[in-house]
Parts: sequence; structure tokens; C-alpha cells
Amino acid sequence: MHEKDFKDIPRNKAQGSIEGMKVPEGYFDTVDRQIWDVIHREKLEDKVLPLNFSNHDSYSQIWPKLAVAATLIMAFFSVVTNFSGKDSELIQAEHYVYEVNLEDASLFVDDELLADNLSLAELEMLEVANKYVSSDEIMEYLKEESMSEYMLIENLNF
Amino acid sequence: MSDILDHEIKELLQQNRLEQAFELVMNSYKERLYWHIRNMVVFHEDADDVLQNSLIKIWRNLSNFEGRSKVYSWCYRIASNEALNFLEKRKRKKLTSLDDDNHSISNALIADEYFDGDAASAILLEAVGSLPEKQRQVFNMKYFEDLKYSEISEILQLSEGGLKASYHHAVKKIEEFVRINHEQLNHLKN
Repeated sequence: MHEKDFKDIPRNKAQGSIEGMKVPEGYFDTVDRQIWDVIHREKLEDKVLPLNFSNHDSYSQIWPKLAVAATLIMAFFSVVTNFSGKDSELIQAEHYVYEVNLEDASLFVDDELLADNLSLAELEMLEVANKYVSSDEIMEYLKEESMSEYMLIENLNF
Repeated sequence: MSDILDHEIKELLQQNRLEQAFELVMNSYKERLYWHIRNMVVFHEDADDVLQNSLIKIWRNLSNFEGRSKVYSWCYRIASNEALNFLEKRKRKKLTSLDDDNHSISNALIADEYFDGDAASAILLEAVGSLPEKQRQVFNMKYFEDLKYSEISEILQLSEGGLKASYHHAVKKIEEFVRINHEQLNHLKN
């Protein structure tokens, strides 16, 4: 066979390709519909914040996802904290106890309630504190307080 | 005609009527884009994938189109890049290497349901497939798609002189490939 010049090989000028390349029947009629389906699906997906991270996510799309994740984590921990089975009033009382003074509060709060709601370490601290508070000491304390008040009044009379 | 179409699409874009603009782009250019892609990737299934990716990319970027070039040139450039990316991935995967020495492309084409050309056509496609990708692009656009150098220059953003040189080299390589493989061509024919 003689050498073939590639320019002798027929071309399909209408298609702009080599002769013999075919497409499925009706292919170009269906392409539009397929593309619009993809576009409309993407529009719907844009309305729902995806939580999966893909390589196509730009940094601008990651920040909202991080914000949602952070919110969920904070909500989770606040629910867990509040879900310790304690009454909310009791929780407020606990916070008051911590704020005021653990030793002072123990003088006014029922022992049983304290035992139920404070940790072992906290109870031990209380016991140590209470050990050193006797009634005599309380009286001394009160006298000192009244003395200081008396002295304050004395000073004011000058 | 193409200038009027280009103007019409740009008008729709300026009015922010994106869907209508895109509809017009698809209706007007999808076949030309398809054949351009097909010339690069050869097989219909691959060309279909690349065309869809290209059209989606055109849609996503249509609102950012600045109108500095013709709409068609811009779409063509996107399709070209998508085809090149596809070829790069295919080469890496080595599923059907266009640089294969065993004429896998021509053999696969002969067996392909969307190709009913003869053995000579298959060998020519194999020859084109053996070119470096950029050279293949230039050859396809000049030889098969019959574009002017000025049009190719606008699409590929390359100088006309460079394009002419590239095309000339491509032609020489293809002639050599076909000459060397004419015996193979006989074998395929028989």
C-alpha cells in the first residue's frame, strides 16, 4: 500500500472533526436538560448548609460551617451541664455558695443537702473549715466586729 | 452572525439575565464545544463528561465574565482547559494512555460504537494523540475545526507566529507518524 497522506483522510467539516466520529441519537437535545438539572440541584443544595468538607470548598464556605459546628458544640455542653439532674434553683444556690463563702454557707445550709450536692473534696474543705469554728470563736468574732463599729463611731465624734 | 449572537449574550449579561444568557450560550455553542472536546479526548463518553463539566463551569463563572473577549472564545478556552485537565488525569491514571506504543487508541476506536471511520482515520487520531497536548490543541483547531490563526490566538492567548510554528511542527510529526505506521494501517485494514 502506498504511503498515505493524512490530508487524504476525510474530515467532517460540519462537525469539525474526522469523518466517522458519531454521537448517540438525540444527544445534543438531552445535554441542555442534564445541565439544567445539575444547576437546579446545586441551587437547592446552596440553600442547605452542607456539613461535608470537599476539596472544592473555598475558605469562604468553610467559615460558616465552622460557626455552625462551634454553635452545636456549645449547645451540646450547655445541655450536658444543665442536664446533670439538678434542679435549676439548686444550681443557683450552688453558685451562690461558691460566690459567698463556702464556710459561711455551710452554717446555714442543711448538712444533708450539702452532702448530696457537693463533691467529696469540697465537703472535706468544709469539714476542715468548720473544725476551727467553735461557738467561742464565733462570739469573739462578733465582739471584734462590734468593737470596730464602736471605734468607728468614736472617730466620727471628733 | 456570530457578532450579533455575541452582542446579544453580552446584553443579557449586562441586564443580569443569567439564565437566559446561559440558555443562549448552550444552544449556540454546545455542539462546537463538544466537537472541540471530542477531538482532544477522542471517545464520546469522555467528551460527554468534559462537555458537561465545561458547561457547568461556564454557568458558574458567567456572572464574572467581563466581556473583554468574545463569549465564544471564553467558552472555548474553558472547554480547552477542561479537556487538557481530563487528559492529564487520564495520563496519570494510565487507563488509556495516548502515549501508548501499542496502538491502543486506534484499536479502541475501531471497536468503539461511536466511531465508524476506517483504519486510516483511527491511525490519524492516534497520530494526533501522540502530539504534546498544546500542539494537539492547535492542530485540531486549525485542521479539523478550520479556525483562523487570529481566532485561535484569541482563544489560547498565544501569538499567531507561535501558533503557526506549533501547527507546522504538528503537521510534520503527524506525517511522520502516518508514514511509519502505514504497515500497521494495512494490518488494521485486513
